[in-house]
Amino acid sequence: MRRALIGLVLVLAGAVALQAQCTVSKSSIDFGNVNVGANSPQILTVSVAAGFPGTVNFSFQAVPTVFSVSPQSLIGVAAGQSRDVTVSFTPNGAGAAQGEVLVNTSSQFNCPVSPTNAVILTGTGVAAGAPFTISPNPLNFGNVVAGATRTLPITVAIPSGQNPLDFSFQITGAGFSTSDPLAFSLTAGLSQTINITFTAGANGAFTGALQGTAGSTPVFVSLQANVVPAFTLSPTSLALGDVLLGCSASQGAQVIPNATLSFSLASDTSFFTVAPTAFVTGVTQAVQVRFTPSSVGSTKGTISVAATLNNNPVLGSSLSLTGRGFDVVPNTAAADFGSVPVGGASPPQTVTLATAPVTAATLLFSATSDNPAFTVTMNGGQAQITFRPSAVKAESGTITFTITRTDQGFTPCVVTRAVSVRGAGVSLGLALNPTSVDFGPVTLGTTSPNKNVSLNSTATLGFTGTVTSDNPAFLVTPASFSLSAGGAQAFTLNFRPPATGAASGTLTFSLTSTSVSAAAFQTSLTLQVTGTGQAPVTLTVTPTALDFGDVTVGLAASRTVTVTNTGQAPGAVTATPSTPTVTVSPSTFNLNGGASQQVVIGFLPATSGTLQARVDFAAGDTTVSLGLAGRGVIPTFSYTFVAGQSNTPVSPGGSIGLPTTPVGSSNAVDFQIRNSGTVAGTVGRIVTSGGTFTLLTPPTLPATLAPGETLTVRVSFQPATPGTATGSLTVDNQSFTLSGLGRVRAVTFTGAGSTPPRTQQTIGFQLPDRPTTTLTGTLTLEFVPNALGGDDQMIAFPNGLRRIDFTVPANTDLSTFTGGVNQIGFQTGTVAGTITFRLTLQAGGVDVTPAPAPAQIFTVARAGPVIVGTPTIASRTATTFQVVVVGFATSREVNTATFRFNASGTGSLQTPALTLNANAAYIDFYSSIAADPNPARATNANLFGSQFTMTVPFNVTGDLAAIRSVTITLSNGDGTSAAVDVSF
Amino acid sequence: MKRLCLILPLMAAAALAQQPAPGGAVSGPLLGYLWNPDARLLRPILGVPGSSLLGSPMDLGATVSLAEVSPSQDYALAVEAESGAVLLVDLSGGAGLKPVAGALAGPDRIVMSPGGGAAALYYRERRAVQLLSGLPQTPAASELVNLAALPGVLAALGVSDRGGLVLAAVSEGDAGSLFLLSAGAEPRQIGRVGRAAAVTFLEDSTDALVADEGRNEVVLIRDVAGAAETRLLAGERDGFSHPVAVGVAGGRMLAADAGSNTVALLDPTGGAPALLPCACNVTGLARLRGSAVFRLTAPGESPQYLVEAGDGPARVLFVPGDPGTEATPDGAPVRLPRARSR
Repeated sequence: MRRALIGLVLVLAGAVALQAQCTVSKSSIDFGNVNVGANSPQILTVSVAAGFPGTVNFSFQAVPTVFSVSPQSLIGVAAGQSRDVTVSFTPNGAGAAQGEVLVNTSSQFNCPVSPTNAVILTGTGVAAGAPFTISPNPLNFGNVVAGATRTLPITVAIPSGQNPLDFSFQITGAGFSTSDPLAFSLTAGLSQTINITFTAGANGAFTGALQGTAGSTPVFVSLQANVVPAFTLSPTSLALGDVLLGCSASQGAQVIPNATLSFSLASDTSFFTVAPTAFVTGVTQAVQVRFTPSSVGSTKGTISVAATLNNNPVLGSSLSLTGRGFDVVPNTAAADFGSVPVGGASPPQTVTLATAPVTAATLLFSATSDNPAFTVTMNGGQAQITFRPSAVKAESGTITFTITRTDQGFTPCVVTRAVSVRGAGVSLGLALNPTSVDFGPVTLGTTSPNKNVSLNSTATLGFTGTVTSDNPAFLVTPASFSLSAGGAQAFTLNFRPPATGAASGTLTFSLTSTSVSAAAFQTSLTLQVTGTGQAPVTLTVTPTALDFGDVTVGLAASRTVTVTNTGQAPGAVTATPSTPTVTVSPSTFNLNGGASQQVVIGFLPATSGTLQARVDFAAGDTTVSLGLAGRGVIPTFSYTFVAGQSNTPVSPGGSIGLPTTPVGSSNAVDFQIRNSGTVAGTVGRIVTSGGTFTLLTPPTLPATLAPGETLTVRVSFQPATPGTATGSLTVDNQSFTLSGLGRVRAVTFTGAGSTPPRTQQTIGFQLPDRPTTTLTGTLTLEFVPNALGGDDQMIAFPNGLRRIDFTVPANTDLSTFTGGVNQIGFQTGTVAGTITFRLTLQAGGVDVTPAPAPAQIFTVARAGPVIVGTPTIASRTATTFQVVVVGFATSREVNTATFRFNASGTGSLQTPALTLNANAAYIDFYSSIAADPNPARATNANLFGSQFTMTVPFNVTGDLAAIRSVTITLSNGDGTSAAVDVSF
Repeated sequence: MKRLCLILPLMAAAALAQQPAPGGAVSGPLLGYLWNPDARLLRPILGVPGSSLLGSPMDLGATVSLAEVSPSQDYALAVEAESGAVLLVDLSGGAGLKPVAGALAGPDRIVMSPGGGAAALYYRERRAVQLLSGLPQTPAASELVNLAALPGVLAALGVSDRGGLVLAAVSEGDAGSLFLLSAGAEPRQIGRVGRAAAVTFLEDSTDALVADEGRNEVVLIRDVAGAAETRLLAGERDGFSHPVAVGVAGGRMLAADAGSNTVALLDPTGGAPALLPCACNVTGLARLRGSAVFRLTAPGESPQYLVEAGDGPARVLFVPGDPGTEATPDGAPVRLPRARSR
């Protein structure tokens, strides 16, 4: 529309304008940029309007000279014709130029040129060549060692005379980067340098690019680099072989750099060294690696080779090394030749030198000794060492072995190893043991006990010999003998004194060597012997006879006598009574010459009767007798224990029963001992055993009872734990069994404090003492109802019974029931009445229940009915429903049930409340002990206690929705239940 | 049963009139029933919590190999030993036994919904579940839901009161998954668990509880058919070391832990559960009558232990063991007569 409107305006404008007759097609021409020297022609059209009355001649002139027009004239352009001329711009230098073409017409009719006769010309001369340059392209970094960086420049430039350009680049390719700007503008004659850095990583060829635009022209410069390792090692591992400790081996390697690098080399172990350790080189460098083991076994090492290029670390390398150290070791560090008689030689000892570990190496051995007493000869790796002492003294020295390795390929190396040697030069080694003998006192006429002497040899020679005594009182056997090398000869010596007093003598041992290969030796040894002759033992006893008089059978009487040795020799005296009713103490003893001994003679008659006996005292060949006389008499005792008014005779070995006693209390009986014989008797000992039996007020003993006399002791029984206790009562050698029963003294019930109906309570008990043995027992529950009907079987322990077993474990005081609990649960039921708990206790099957038997009584009270839970509405229809109420009444009595209906507000209730007389139904229910076949209707009151389910059906007239809820209460003679609502 | 003698007062005219009708009765209360699978006996638990005892075994009129008592204890589903038929046992004093029409014979496991209106029958060899609805009055059996595509072995089942939803927990070693099943639809995995020991829906809800003995935790899953958001309700932090059962009743949520022999009253907001120790071997949570009353111990245990977690303080109670006979006052043993059968 807009365009259509403009066109309309033009039409109107044309209608009022004069039409031009001669025209040029352009009023101006812009040649733009034209290279210097180049031509840029453009067309200019001239026209003569149709209807022009004549022809027109045109002429053209271009100024300045960088512009030209061709042809410069047109002749005879007719009306309605158009002709073209070419206008050119040929710059002769850079820069803008402006000019014009003048158009003149000539005709017989005036024909001015429209729209102008001076066509404006403009143009810009620009220099010839590329608009910009980038070099070098490609940019090749050549080889760059790993880890090094190299930076090379790229220059971007715009030659003079070219147009300004905007450059924008980016760098691609791993490792190539720059910190120079990548976007910039340049004008003619200016340049910009971009420094490209290549960081050498892994080995290999890398390519990238510097790419972007120059103005709108795409630019791409290829980037190239090749990463080579900084250096290499040849070889990369060395095996230095087996090297003897104390020696070393070396091998060479080469470091081959790819650039001039600064190297540093280091070993990770002292066994391996390298030289040189630092150098700068750009060519191959040899290094020497030396292996000097300090221990045997295989060793590994590494020479780390690090390098820097222009102070920048390059990737290092390492030289792996192996070698093994071995040693030459004597099979012993020391050789002991022991004792060797002077002038003799030891057996040679062999020392073997061997490589460790076993190594194939060529070794030469030699040995020297620093002590001439030890000589050594070598045979290969074996040395023979001999000890030849020249004096009686200890000798020691060192055998030094020199080992030379002569293997080809190894530097000759000498090492030494040493073995210490020792020995002792000794004499012939003959000795007597002991070196003297003293026989001490020996009774005249007797021969002393044997004395033993040993002649010991540590020599390497054998001997024969004889023994002689210079005093005939001293005897020795054997008189001649043979003594082997290193052996011993025993001799027996005796002394037979010819008279009292001291005696002495000398025994001479003469020996001659029996060695065949050595020169004979002769030598002698002497032994000093001494002894004393003494007079024999002689005994006397004072008095020489005893009379014990009357002694009660079973009781002992004693007397003391003195035994004396009137001789010089000591005697071992033995006293021997002639009858076992007589005792002697001591019965054996030693008496030195002139000494005395008190001896007690006892008489213990076993039966009545006269004693005629003796005691013989003997020492050696001497015996002296002691005469004895006396009489054994028998007392007669009878025994009775008295408990209250009861006197019970008891014989020895019989039992005495003490009254049953609560633990912690005590009871006692009297025990009477009466001398019922005709002679006086003595009671010497009355004791009890068993910790619970004791004697009250023990009598002073011994007590002598005249015939008919009675001794009374009181025996107490104090049980420490329930159960049967036994002990004994001993009167002299008569014993009686004591027995008693300890009863639990009391029980304290624990647990429930009351028994509300329909609850589960617990009950247990505690004893005042802790019995030492486990008690067992039974806890029983009894229920006596105080309500209509019979039992409530729900009153029971968890086992469903009314009796439950328990224990009181030893050393505890609490009842323990099944499951380890100290109190057991029970149901209180729902019937009023009395619940009584009783228990019995046994210890080892014996009743130890306290007397009277403990009981705990609870009462379930009569009360009004209780509604359990929330009643329910059941069997609901449009006109009927049932109210189901569950509850209980401990008195088993429910008289009335009241139902109060609460309106919902949607209508009124004709019957707001109803009260049912339920008494008869409940009496009937509670009186029943027969069960309905269907448990849902079971009515056995004994099973349910006083529990009930009451179902009351209702008929309804009207809309049941009028009832919101019903409030129920139940009543009996003891009260009324809490009101309970049930919603519809 | 003893009939009530009723007072019938004459009432003024009103829009709604109600009056007692004939048929009122007084009987002994029942806490519920105990099915002993080893002895194959069903025994009533007489009384109320705190005062109860085990009644004599019931004669069901048929030899039963498997039974599951409804949460309300008014009926049971049983499997006849010989035929495998699924029977509905009326425990409310009604018509005794009757077969469940359409129920496939021989289920290996019966799982009740928390309200007892639905049940799932599991057939191990078929790897299938059949849903029963309309229990107990108008039972209807669904088509079999094929579990063959589920990995691992079935560890636990839960059935919803409404919507016919079944939550199946399967386990493969110590790892397991929960799948939502419904008749006519492919099983849909809704989450991962360790090794589920028990699953139950909440009453009239699509929320579910899972006892995970693999992870020793109990989790609540909100809206198993939708977002299935999981919340930890109890775990090792609470001393759980072997959760074996979960139960719901009257809005209460409980979990049983066999490792610590405790029962936990769970806080649905994730707060610390209240723990009740039991001097017994806790093996499960079997619903009984009363206010959130559950049996904790195995059917063969003696005595039995219960938890009462409804109104009032929660408490653990025992049901006295079976002395063998139930003594009459004169000491003579007595057995409950046989229940009426078909």
